[in-house]
Amino acid sequence: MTENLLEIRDLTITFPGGRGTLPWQRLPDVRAVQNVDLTIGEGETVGLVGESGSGKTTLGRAVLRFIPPAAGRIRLGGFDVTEFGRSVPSGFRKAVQIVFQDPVGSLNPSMVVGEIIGEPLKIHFGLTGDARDERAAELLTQVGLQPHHLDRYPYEFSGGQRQRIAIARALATEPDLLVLDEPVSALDVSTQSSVINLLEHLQRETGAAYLFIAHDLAIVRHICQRIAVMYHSRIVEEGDSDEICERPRHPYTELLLASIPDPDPVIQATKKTLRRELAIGDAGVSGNAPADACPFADRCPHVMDVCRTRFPEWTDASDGGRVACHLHTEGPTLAGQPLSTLRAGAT
Amino acid sequence: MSDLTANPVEIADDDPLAAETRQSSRSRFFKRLRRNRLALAAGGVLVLLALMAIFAPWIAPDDPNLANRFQDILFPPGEGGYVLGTDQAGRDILSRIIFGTRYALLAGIVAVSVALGIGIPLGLTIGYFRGWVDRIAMRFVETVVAVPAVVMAMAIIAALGPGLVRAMFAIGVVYSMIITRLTRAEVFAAREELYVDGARSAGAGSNRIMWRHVLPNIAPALIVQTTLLFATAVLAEAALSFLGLGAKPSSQASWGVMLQSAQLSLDRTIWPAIPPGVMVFITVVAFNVFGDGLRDAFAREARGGRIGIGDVEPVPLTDPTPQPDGAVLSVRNLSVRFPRPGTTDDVDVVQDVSFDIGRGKILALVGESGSGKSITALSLLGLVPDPGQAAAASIRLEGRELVGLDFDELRPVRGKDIGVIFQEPFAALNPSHTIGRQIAEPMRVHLGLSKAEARQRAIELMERVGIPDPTKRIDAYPHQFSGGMAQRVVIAMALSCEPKLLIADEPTTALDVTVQGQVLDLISDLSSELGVAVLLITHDLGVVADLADDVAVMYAGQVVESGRLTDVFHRPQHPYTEGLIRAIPRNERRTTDLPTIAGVVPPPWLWPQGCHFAPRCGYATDSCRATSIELQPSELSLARCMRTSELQLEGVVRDSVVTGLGIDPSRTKTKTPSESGIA
Repeated sequence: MTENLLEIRDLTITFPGGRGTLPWQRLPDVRAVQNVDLTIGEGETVGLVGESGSGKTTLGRAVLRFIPPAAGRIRLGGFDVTEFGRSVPSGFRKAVQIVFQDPVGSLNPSMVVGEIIGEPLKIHFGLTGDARDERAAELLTQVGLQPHHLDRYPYEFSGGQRQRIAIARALATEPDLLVLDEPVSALDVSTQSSVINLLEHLQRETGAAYLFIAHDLAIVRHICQRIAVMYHSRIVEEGDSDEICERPRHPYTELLLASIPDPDPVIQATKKTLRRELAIGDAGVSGNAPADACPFADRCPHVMDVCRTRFPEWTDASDGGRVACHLHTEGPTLAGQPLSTLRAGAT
Repeated sequence: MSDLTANPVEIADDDPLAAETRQSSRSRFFKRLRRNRLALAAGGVLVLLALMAIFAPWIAPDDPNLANRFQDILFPPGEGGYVLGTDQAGRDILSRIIFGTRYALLAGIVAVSVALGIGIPLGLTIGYFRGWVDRIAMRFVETVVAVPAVVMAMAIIAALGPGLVRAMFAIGVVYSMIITRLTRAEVFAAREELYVDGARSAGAGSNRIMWRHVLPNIAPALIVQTTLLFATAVLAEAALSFLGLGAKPSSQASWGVMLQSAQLSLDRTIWPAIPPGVMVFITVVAFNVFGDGLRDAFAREARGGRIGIGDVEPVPLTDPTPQPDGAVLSVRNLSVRFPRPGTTDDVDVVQDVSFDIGRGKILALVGESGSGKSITALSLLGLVPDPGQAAAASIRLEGRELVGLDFDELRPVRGKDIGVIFQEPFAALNPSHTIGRQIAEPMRVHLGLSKAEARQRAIELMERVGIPDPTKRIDAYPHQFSGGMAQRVVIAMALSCEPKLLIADEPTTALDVTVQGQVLDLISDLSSELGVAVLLITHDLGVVADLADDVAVMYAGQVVESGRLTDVFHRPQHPYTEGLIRAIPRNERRTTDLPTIAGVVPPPWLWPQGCHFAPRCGYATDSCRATSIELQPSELSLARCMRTSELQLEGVVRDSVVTGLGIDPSRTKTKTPSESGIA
């Protein structure tokens, strides 16, 4: 991890609220992302984990400048993304690419694969004709498909193969950063694993950094070096993948871990008991995110009064991770220790 | 890129499905169009009209504009050698009709090209950029559309002067507003598609996105609208020419001109008005019918086949396992057959499936997409998509044989005794009815409860499935619920008639992981409290481990392994089960590639004669491929594998897996040989 490729500082994104019951009433803006800091080093893979409505996809789209931020800064390589006006420099478009969750909707159904992959080649490298087809065939081979697939339409492929095509298109610009927005969630388990393996191989070949957005911690752990956990517009915990998945420090991360079912019925029976203890309140994200409170307060089994009045300060842990939770600064102070020490102390 | 070969990436299957279905969506579109006889006939009429227009000078017996030698004698049809007679100026009506086709089509082409030429770029631009451009342009468009087209055209003609081409140009300008509106609406939807974002991220500019990405995908709607506009353009030409604003009466024999001249002799006969009237009528109807046909063909392209309610065909019983008396559901030799696409051959997509579910028990049907698990469940409901056909030796629900019952006898069984939960809660709920009404509806139909009783029971059910404040929320609409709460509503609906069997098809796949846990707990509680048997269909082995008592693993239409959950997961007897277990990412450290099962489930017509899994199986030998394999007892389960006794397959127990929760599962670490090591 040399220099930071992507630097997000104090990023806030809001969407205009709808209209009220009366035509002149405006509802308050919806806070989709609040005060988020996140960095990705060159060639690094960072996971962004959260449930639907957490703001993780919004954050990913903001990195591509599909959504303008309300406040804060996004820097990528030499570009200041927040400074862009209506038009985005083509050098930036070349530097960052995206792969979407839905392998059906993300490929233009009226174009053949050669055109889909050839489009960025033409735009960014001026390749046409045979030179373009040759490079497109190379990319197809790189993602495990075959050159004769170039003149086929997307509907002729299975979900896993379509996702490979989407990856080939993204790699065509030779990007420095690839935003992967739930790239394997719509796939079968064994296909999921092969796409993850492919992404790892490609990273070794191309050196591209990944921002891997997903809701499943178990999958994210297998591809990311670092993980940021997002809940209802805020990042609440960040750190080394293994640390997050083995010694979580935030109650929400713990709930997420307890909620992922394990195929071992014995382990699962234990997790199920704990899940029932940890899951209180209405599951899922609803309403506008609070500006001055911990967004997880209503669902937190350890909630204190302070949680409802102030978003916690960040506490740094010795291993480089950090967590935003009042448990680490007030009450039974954890000061960066994993949450499990709380349970160990109680019994 | 020379280092590519040094680091070989596993080759994703060149899956045979693609090769087999290369018959493109385009040819399927034409096939559907061909089946629509009426549209085809209309298309034929249009071709005929076009031919008539092109070859008019050679077909027409006379000059359409010259009077006959008797000058202005009006011949009735058949007399004087005129098949359709002459008009008041003595001109041959047949020839004029034939030449009129030219003007009708010319009128249509001018109007439609102007409409498309203005409407498409304008619609694309305002639809794509939206904002103030859109607001201003749309107010203008609405103003123009609010005035009747012919009146608007007359205003434009007043400025341009009369004449056929000018008149139709004016009509085209008016129609372009309709095209603009349609294009804009279509672009609004299309620009939200992910591939538009994909193109943007690839660096494509706005123009490229509009013309290359959006336009081809909204073309079907535009094509249909264009056909319909052609029809109205023919009508408009007739109307304007009749008023003297279109074609020149002396030299252009359009149908509108013919109607006008027929009016001059109206005191003597109405005949000359009839042929052009009929022609206008035929042309307009043909265009409309053809346009409707196109729309239907395109629409079905988008929607896929319909669902039919079919009976289950009886077949002889070959499964030797006796049907237990206490079982809620007992199925023997269930198969589902579909015609192979593009041929008349049938293929079995589900083959000889048998299973039992006891009271309060949960059986999980597991497999990848394409394994046949969902079709198996749908066949129990009689919901096999058309043109599939289910067959079984026996389907017993609480001792009652369902095979052999006809549609009317089955309906109460399906509505009352079997409840269903689907993956997408919002797809199962009608957005325009309150949830109270939707929960109460089946109880009023199947249990004959009064409105008040059904409502009372709906409130109880909502309380039971954990919806807070049911007396208030019963009058809410589905969109007011979150995904997890909506799934609870669906569960309440499924339970409303006290079913004996609950079919849950991927009940938590669309839900967030923390919501998933609560829904799983609910299903589990309901099953044990109410004694409902649950058939759980899922691809997630974690969900199975959480919920199921028994498990049946399906691959390529067959059950390849079945048994008690712990037996199957701890000591799998079939390589496919092992493959599924190994492929699931778990909470553990890892240094090598994630294990995968190479390839995908092949389409049913390519399933091998021998073991279906053999082409993807690492343990397969020639004898596996030789003959079909039966499901036979192996250790504590049933498995469809020849080599099961010689293989040591890896189960779910792995020391590397952690919970991350500071507690470790209490497991007595006495391992049998089959539980350790990697095969």
